[in-house]
Amino acid sequence: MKRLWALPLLCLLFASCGMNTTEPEQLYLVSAIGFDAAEEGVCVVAEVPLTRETEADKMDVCVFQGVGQNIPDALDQMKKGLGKRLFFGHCALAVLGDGMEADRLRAALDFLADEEIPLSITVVSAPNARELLARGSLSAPAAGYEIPDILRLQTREAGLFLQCRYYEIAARGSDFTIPRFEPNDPERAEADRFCGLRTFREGRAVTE
Amino acid sequence: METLGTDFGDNLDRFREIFRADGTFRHRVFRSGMGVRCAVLYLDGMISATVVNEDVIRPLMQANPITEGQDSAAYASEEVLWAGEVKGSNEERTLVSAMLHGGVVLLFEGSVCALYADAKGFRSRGVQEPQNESVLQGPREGFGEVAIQNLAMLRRKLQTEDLCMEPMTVGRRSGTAIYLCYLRSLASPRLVKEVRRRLGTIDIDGVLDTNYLNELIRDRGRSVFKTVGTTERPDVAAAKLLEGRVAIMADGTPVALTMPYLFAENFQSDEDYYLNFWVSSIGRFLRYVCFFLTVSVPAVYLALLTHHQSLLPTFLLLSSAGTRGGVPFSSLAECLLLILVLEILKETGARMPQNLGHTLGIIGGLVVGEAAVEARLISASMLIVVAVSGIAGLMIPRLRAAVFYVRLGLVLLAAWMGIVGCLVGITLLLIRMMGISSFGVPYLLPLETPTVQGLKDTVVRLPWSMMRTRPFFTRDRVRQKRGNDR
Repeated sequence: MKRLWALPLLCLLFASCGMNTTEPEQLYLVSAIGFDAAEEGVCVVAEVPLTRETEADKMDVCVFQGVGQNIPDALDQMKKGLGKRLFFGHCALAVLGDGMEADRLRAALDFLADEEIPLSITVVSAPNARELLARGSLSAPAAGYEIPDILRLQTREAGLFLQCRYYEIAARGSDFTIPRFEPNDPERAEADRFCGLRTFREGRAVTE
Repeated sequence: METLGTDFGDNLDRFREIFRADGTFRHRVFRSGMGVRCAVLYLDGMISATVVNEDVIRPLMQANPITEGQDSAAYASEEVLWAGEVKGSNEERTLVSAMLHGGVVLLFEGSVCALYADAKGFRSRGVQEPQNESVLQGPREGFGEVAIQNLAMLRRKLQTEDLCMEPMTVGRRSGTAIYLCYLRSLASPRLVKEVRRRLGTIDIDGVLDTNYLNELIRDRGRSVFKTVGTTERPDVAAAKLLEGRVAIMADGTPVALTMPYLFAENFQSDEDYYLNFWVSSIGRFLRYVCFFLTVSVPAVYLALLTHHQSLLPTFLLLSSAGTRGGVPFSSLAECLLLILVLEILKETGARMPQNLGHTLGIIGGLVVGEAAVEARLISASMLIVVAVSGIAGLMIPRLRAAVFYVRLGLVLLAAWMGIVGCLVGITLLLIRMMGISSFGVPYLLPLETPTVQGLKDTVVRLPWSMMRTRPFFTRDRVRQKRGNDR
């Protein structure tokens, strides 16, 4: 009875946490995210592997898209049509489409610094992020895309050392160089093509 | 207190009246060789007929007549009876108690004193290996239900006059004989005094098993952690006494209590000391790992699955999401349901005959489990997690109650607060455990203040050559003398 004073403290502790649980099947696990410039502002593309209830080892890929004046607007637009929450905790790839420069680039990088997104996310550029992500050549869904694999291969075999993780880019401030990819012909069973580097200086692309 | 009178017939009638509703009461009145009438009283089934016939009735029949003025009871006790232990008393209560404990009472005409002799002869189970404490290597004998036989088994292990076996009686109606056993030179007098005091405070109508005593004398009687040890093996009881502990044996049960009982003892197996120390240490270490696994795995998995999805490997999360698709329950409900089913299977298996138990394990574990996953009642990943936790729990059967409640508590906290909940639960558990003591000895010793000598028999079992001292609460701490100590 003397320890009853501890009860309100415990209740307070529990109450502060709440029962905020989310079952994994209530989430869309975003494996890659892309940013493109659009007339309205920004187009955000999310690639989501879909698990089948009967065959958990086989996965399809779905690409969701939202357009808005800025990235939060575009995301809100995207979420409107979804029945589940988008979960970015396992997002492995971010694609910056051409046209994502200056303020848009800054906004995209700020979005990547969101606490839910892993700071080890690989950042690459592409002529069109949606086109690259929608190609559906997902060979390793857990890795987000086969692009990280291609980069690992480049590092190992070509000796090309690429600093394209978000935390590496963030450390360089507004000047950074990231790999550039182009989607291959979908009818050819080949990986997307690594086609050089793209350097950003003061938020603007200076080389390709 | 009623005492016997001088009238032989009246005395006999008083016993008849006391046992009027007892169908096992037997008496025989006869004229002895001493020239006086005698009555032999006993309870059928409690005595040995051979002892009564050969060592009591026959000598009385063949006795020489007593001279005038000579007391027949005193004469019979000193010169006639062959029975091993013969005592005299005129107190009715003492005589009745003697009969209830397997004695034979003798009334003599003209004597106010009756005799009672020990003639115990009830049937008992033979010496068998305890099923709950079976070993691959080592002694296989276990205690039985007769306390005297158990004491003899203990005496055979410790053939020293240092071994004390103090008799006591508890239970107003059961009159259960209990024995407080300890080695005088090793057990702390304070410990012995405290055990004696606690036993003395017991006022209950019946004690049918040592667990009655356990719950009445233990520290923190409502704690899920055992603070009094139990064993059915004389070698284990002897080993505990050699560490300065105290044991309590009770008539009618093969389970002996040992105290103090520390948390580390839950992880010690009887066999650890009979196998090579390398082998024993593996088992000992694994038991600690399994304790951690069994209480924490479901909680941690639940926390990761429902609160911290980022911390799960991507493939595992995708796989879990895939297998959970179509399951009608939340992860928490699923986890609680599986823990409940696991406990039901364990409980049913324990109460079944051995062969049926195996069948039940196969049906329950494999068939029902597989069918439930196929029917999408539960997810395969949660089934695996709870099964791993259940199997790990089997490594530490002495902590069964604690494991169940701690696991359940952690699961609820994890569902509520995620990993923070697990950490809060473990912290509260540690705080709670640090407050427990067993007969004045901190429960977590020697884990809470680890020293090399203290840990020699905890997480691993060091070779005997390195176990030179006894636990700190022992009166004489030197276990073995080597080198300069000689």
